[in-house]
Amino acid sequence: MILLLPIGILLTAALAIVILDRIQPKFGTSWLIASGAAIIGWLTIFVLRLRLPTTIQIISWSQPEIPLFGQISLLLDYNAWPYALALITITLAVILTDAARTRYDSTPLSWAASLMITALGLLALQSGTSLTLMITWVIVDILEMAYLLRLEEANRSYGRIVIAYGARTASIMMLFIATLVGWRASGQFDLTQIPQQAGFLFLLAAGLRLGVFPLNMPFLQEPNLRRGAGNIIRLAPVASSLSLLARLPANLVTPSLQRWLPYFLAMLAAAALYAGFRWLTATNEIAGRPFWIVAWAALATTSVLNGVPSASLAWGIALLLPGSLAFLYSPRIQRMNFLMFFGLLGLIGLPFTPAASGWMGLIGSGHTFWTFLFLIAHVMLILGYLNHALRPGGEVGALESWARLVYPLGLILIIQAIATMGLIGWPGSLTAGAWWLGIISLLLIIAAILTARRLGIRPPYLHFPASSLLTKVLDVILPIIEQVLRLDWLYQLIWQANHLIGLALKSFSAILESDGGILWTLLLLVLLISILTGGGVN
Amino acid sequence: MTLNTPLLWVLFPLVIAAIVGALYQRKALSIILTVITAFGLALLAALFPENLTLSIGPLRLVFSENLAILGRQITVKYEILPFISLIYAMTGLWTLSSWFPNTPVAFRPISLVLTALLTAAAGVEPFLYAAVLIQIAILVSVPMLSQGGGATDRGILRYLTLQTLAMPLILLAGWLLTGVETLPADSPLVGQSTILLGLGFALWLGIFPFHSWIPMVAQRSRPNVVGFLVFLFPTTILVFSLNFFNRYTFLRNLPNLAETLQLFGVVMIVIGGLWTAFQTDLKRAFGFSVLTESGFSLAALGLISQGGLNWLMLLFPLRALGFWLWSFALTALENHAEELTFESVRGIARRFPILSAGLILAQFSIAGMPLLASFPIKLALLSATLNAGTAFGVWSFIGNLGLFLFTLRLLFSLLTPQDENTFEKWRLSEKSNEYLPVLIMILILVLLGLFPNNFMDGILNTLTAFTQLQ
Repeated sequence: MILLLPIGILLTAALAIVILDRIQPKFGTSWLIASGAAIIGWLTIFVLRLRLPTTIQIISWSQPEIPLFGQISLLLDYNAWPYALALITITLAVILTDAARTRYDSTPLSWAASLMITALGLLALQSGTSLTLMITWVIVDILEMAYLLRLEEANRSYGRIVIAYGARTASIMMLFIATLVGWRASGQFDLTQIPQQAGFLFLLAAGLRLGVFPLNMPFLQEPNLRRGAGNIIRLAPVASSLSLLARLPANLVTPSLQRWLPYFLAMLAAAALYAGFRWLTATNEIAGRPFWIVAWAALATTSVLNGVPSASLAWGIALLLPGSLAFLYSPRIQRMNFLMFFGLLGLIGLPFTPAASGWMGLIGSGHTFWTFLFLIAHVMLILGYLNHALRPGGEVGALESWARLVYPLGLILIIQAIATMGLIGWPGSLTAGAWWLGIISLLLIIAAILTARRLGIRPPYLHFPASSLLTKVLDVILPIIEQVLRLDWLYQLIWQANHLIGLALKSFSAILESDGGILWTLLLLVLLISILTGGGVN
Repeated sequence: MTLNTPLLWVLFPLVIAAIVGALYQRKALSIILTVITAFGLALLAALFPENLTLSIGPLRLVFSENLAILGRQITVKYEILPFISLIYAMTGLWTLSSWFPNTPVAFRPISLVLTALLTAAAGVEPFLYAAVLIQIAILVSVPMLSQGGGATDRGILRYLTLQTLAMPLILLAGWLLTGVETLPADSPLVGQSTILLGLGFALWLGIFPFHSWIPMVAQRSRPNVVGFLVFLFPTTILVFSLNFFNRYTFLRNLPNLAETLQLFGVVMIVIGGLWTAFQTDLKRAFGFSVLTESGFSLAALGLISQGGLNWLMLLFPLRALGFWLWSFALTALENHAEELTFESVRGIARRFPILSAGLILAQFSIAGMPLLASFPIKLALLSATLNAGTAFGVWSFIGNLGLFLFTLRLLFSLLTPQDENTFEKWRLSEKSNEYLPVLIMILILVLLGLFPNNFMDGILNTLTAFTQLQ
């Protein structure tokens, strides 16, 4: 039952805040409820580290008298715990740092939304079975869509919202068919024992959701999702997909899929490089957030394809924790900039840092050309992080005294979680790993910084002179790449096919429903019978 | 005092229907009377004691199961009561939605008559008379489908023609079957009677290529009336079909019958799914989705040896609730939009968010979206279909995606503003009698999707009436 405790507390607190906001809005009380619930949830998740794996069966549909299959259960294991801790830490950090953003998007209702999304996120990433995962994904998707549609600008971006929802629904359908295939292969199973035959379909489900495999990025221009609840709503679904990746079998690339592996890796490398570059050149960290997610998710997915699913944990945690450190660092305070450097701890991949165990996932069975490309993507991600972290700011005067205390506390909490991940995150998290790759990456980063300084390129953000050849080339290429990645061409293709097939079906239907329809029906019947009886040969 | 069960579930509703018919001008009263009768009979069927004895204070009413009428027997067995409870409950629910303007006044009395006639059809002896009772029900249903005066609708004529064609085929098959039982298995009569029977049921159930009346009727008639029709007839006819399997050993042992049923099931799922996916008319899409659902029923029948009958029975109430919500939302939206096409409903979600959500979730529920009612059954059924054959399983899954695709297209249309340059705020324009039923039904669909075991085991007791199919 302890697994349900943090979820229950977060949901209860969310409900209490909503009720309070309706009856007698009190900013301070609501903040206390939100932070109190998040702290209890955070402590509970910490305590649960001592009791891994913990499982709880909530509902079982399999009963002797009714032939239904499956069960709804929760499972917190070494693959889910890091993400659970990361998610609850981010939530607590959001609420603490929101104290400094009261003039922006920080409201009691946004905290309630954060708590609720986190509760559902915890439910999703602790799913013990694919049934549980499907159900929680459906709930999260519906709530996310409802939240996005309520935003003022949704009137203009409804199309993107529905397409994003469609991609999510496709991932759920993929999970559906993966479950059926898995059941056929080895009967009912939980997510720690995903059959090899179904493994790739599970990967596709997670990849579709993360937007990396196949690549789909309907939200290249983010709707008005800023830092608080916006950060949670972006990262909670990602966490649940990452948790699924970590649980996939190591041998999911079956011999029949082996020849496709280079193509899969090429797709992922392209995604990581493009997203890394866009993150590096984004105007700010929020504008670059979709690219940040895709790039790290591509590294995590590659680890699974290379047969080292546990390595995906390292990249997944890098996405969530240091990413949130950057996304929640607003307002900027010059003398707190140093805190951002601690975020590098979770990204850099040097020996005995949390990301060190991730390199093995990029190497797979040996160093290849793809490893080099992923290394470049990694370098760009870190350069981009530094670029955004070092932007100047200075709104300290605007903060209330209590906010001056809790705001840095929220950021420190994330740093503490990064350190925890390195020490006890998952078995094998404290490792030297493929240390040489970490060193090479660091050298490349230093070289890039030095070159940039020599060329006179400095923060606030990386940009090339408007008259330079590179800018001109990028101005032409980037919109094309963006169109390709937004899959507009695919949607148009589908639309054309849809139109043609629809026309054919409409004509067929019109014939059957015309005055002579019954005669056509009889003709079809004769044809059908002759086909079924082997054309009347016998 | 000795009474009989057919009196309660066949004759009594017919009497009430006559009264409701006479009171057609008093809308509220006729709705109340119909709804109370339907829900009352549903509740009674659900709670009826096994010894068929009702004790109300000093009064002790002992019921028999048979009623002799014109030399025939109508039997309403205790075992079939869960099914009768379902069809009466759904009749009550559908007549509750008849307060919508433009619902034909004939709908209320006719709905009761149909349910009573089909209850009788499920238990008439000799059982071939069921075909006659079903034919009467088909004839009686016509006035409720008509939209006032004017020329007779071609869809209704098609419906009448194809459904009527089924009766002689079933009667002929029944006549042949009386002799078949004593014949050797390789007798040509076995094949002939099976083909006639198959054709008869195909006509009744609107199996491809006899389906054309369904979208035609759906397009022209009120969605709540069509919803009731496409739930009640196929459901009762499928239960009636179980009589044949139960009674005739040769049918159960017929080689390839299971595969043939599965094949037709998959064909229906794919055809229905394809047609649904590419519709732009919301009412026609509702009609085409019925084809997919008939396909799932056939697939379940084809999986009889793997427990398919359980899934067939479990699908009935879930499908009924999904269809109810779908038709309710369509009927309500029809009152607010000029017509129900993608173009006409553009941006309507911003003014009618709950009705739109109800429509989308009803479709998702029927399609088997996780969290919603049909999901546990569709999951089990698709799993069994996949185990029976990879091609069957994959095609069933693909066909079922049709409704998902249509729903996403509809969602896009519902959210697309009429004028993309003006900002339209969300507002709740529904009345409470429109959004409350939708919200309650969504809650029920979610509960059924999460806890199917807790609510659904009763309906499975119906199968005990078919002793040979256990």
